[in-house]
Amino acid sequence: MYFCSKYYALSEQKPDYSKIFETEFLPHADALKTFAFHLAYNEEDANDLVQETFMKAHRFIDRYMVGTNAKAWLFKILKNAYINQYRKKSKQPTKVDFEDFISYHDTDEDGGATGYLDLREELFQSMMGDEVTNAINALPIDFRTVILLCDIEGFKYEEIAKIIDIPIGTVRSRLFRARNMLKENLKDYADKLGYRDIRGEKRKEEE
Amino acid sequence: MENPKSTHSVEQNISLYFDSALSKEDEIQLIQKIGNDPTCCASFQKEKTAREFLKNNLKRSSCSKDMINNLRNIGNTH
Repeated sequence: MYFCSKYYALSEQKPDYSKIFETEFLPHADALKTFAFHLAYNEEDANDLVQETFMKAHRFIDRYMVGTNAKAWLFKILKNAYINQYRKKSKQPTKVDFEDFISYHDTDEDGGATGYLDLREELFQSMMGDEVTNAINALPIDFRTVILLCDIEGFKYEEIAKIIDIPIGTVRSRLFRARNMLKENLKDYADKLGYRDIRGEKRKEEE
Repeated sequence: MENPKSTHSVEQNISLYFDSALSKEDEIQLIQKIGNDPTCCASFQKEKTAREFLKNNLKRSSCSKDMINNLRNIGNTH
């Protein structure tokens, strides 16, 4: 195990950055894209986030410890890129696309009520359109993130704590709350599939 | 009636097991309990099904070939 730059200093041999990039970073592109997609709700933004992640990984490749957890390192970069992008967007004045402006004013008064909906989210929901995806995407961002990292990507508590810069105890409590919220969101769907929520029955038994 | 305290602990341990956060010793104890206790075994199966269901049903997104090539090009620039 070595830092790319340390290796360079010790061996006076330039590390093969292209090889590191190809063998340790690129295999995680799809997982990063899925994570980005569920953060951003939008294909274009997800692609931008993945692109930015790989550009930053390349720029700071000398800080990466070869043979360590490239996936966790890349996820951390992506999560920071998402926060920066979100901050930038929230500081920018609202941009109105000309086409959007026309269609907004073409709607009748009833249709105007849809202005309260996030149209990107609506598009995303119709694209992804299944209950599990919708249930996860309905979670607040902090809870959605821990579910995606733990239950979908299989990161350990310690890795999640490092990726999102929170203590391990907070990871555990967020996961616990996120899973309960998810169960509530999926309750109707689970009922349809024949799963029974026995938590209420257990509580009664305990009393 | 089951002891609610012990049921809670088993459920917690099952959750920790699937999160790979259980110590080796607790993991062995849990596996033994699953083998001996049908209630525990049912809880384990339920959690396993729920985890797999979530993992298998979340829509995943992938990078296009063009995008992979773009990313590869980033790696090839010095």
